[in-house]
Amino acid sequence: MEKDIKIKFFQRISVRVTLLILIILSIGIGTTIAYYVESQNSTIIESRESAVNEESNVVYYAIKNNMLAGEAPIAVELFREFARIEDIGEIMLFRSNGITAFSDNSTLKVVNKNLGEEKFTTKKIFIDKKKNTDDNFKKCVKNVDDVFVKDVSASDKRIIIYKPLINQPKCSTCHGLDHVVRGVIKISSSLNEVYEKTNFNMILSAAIYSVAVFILSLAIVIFLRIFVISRIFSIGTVVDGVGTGDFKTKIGDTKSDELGRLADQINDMIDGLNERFKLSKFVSKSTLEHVKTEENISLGGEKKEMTVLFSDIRGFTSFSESKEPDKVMEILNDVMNLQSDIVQEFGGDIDKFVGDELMAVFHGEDMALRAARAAQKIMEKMKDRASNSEDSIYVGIGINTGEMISGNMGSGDRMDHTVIGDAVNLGSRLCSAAGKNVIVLSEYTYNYIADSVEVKEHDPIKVKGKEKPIRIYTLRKIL
Amino acid sequence: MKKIALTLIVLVFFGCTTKKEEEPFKVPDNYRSWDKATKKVLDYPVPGHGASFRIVYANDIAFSARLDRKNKRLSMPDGSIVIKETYAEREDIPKKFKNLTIMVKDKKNKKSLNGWFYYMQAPDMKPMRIDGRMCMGCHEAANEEHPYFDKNPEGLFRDYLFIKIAK
Repeated sequence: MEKDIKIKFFQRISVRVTLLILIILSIGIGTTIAYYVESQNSTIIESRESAVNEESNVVYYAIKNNMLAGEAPIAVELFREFARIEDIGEIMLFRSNGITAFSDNSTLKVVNKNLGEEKFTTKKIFIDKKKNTDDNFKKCVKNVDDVFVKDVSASDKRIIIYKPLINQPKCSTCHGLDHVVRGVIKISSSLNEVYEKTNFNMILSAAIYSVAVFILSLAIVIFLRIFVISRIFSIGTVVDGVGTGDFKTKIGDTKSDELGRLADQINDMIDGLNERFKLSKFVSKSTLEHVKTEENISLGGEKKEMTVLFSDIRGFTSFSESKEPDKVMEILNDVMNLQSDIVQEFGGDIDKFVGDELMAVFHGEDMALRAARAAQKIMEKMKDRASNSEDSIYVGIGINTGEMISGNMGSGDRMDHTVIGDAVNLGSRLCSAAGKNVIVLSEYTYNYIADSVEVKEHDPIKVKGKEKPIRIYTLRKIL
Repeated sequence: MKKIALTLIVLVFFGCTTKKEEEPFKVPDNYRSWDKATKKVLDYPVPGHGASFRIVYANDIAFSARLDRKNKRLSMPDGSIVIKETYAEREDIPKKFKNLTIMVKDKKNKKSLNGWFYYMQAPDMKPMRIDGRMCMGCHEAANEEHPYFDKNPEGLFRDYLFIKIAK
């Protein structure tokens, strides 16, 4: 869970995947739905407009054929009937000058004048007089053509259609020849209801879409949490444990999907690491380092200037014969652990344990002095141990410095990374020569640390392979 | 091979998608050789043309129209052209006409007004199509039986012509 808190919100897979899906939904399905709703609404509006247009044609022919000579009251009644039908909207007839037709007797008077007789008597039934000043009305008169106006203001949405009534030859006898347009029919139909419906459609579609997206997102997040994220966290927790040395805890994911397979692979990897971790206790640090840095491990070596430290328990054979094997091993391990810790403390590397003997290698800066200091501390700790224990065990230590061969020795299948050479053998020989609680240095080691130590020189020893005897010293004090 | 196929696809695509441009109407140069709808010069005033003098020509297709006496219907075939020369004064005939008003029958064309296209052409100008109610609004009255104007004495559907052109 700790890892979960550390991951930033937008870096979480669940958030990113959800966002990605939301974007895809918005761009893909959202656009499709938006287009579908928009086109559906357009179809509704267009079909309504088309219906109004069709109605207007019917009304146009109805009015045109009701313009009976001298029968204005019939036309007046027709318009009054239209006004009573709510669905049909507003239907008006205007003279070409914009004044409401049948609102007075002026046309009738012109007709009588054209006919040269008082053929038609004046009427008393009129429609309310109004003046149409709409530019679309004027356009209709000027162009002698229908004008279709879609007036969709915020408060009122309607279609207005102006249709000119032509001064046909049959009309001209009474109405004269001085004009082309006798009048203009205005048909105005409300679209408010249609727009309300389309708006409702849009809001409803948006709401359904939002709810669907929300539910889908929630489902995706839950799915990711259960089937992906929590399992990744489980794997992460186990991997964290491996990082801190826990090779026992395994991932308990048994599903046969990709993550289950990954869990199996990581479990196998943990087994492998555990095996290697255990094996690492049986090899020296330098060997591990060598394995890490070398890509192709093969037999062979190189010459290096190093310091080798041999420590051997004095009288261990007779000691072991007097004790139970378990006790012997316990004491041996205790002493080896003590020495091993000290060697590592001073930067040395345990090369191997041979029976009751320890072989350590130091290299790099101050290698001889560090080896001497390690040896001195081993002596001190062994003395302390002896004073606090029933087992009076002491060690003798030999230290030599010189050119050695460091490399892989053995066979192609089974090899050791170690050091060999005369310098190593001399170190072993010095150890053999050292008595209880004695540290023996070769002249080569002494030459390295002469300024830092107090020693006592002894008779030189003859060493196999060397013509001249080797001078040896016992360490008394490190300055 | 690929290039040929690609070219064919492009051609087919453009063939399918490119709108065929309508050819503009041109008044035939020889229209005065056509038969006249009436030998008389029409001199009575009518709305839209006012007090004018008019000679009406029609092509052979127009004259091939058959009158269905049983149903009282006269239907002009597609391709019929009726050209009316309008003169301001009688003395102007035949040289100085005011304009030509033309009717072309093309019922298959959805843009036609009750099957007709109306044009007006001033001297030395190209014909101008009149798509509004200007011409059609008047000519639709030609089919009515009405007590005024020429009264449509035979009570025919005259296919929006105020004059009978038929064999």
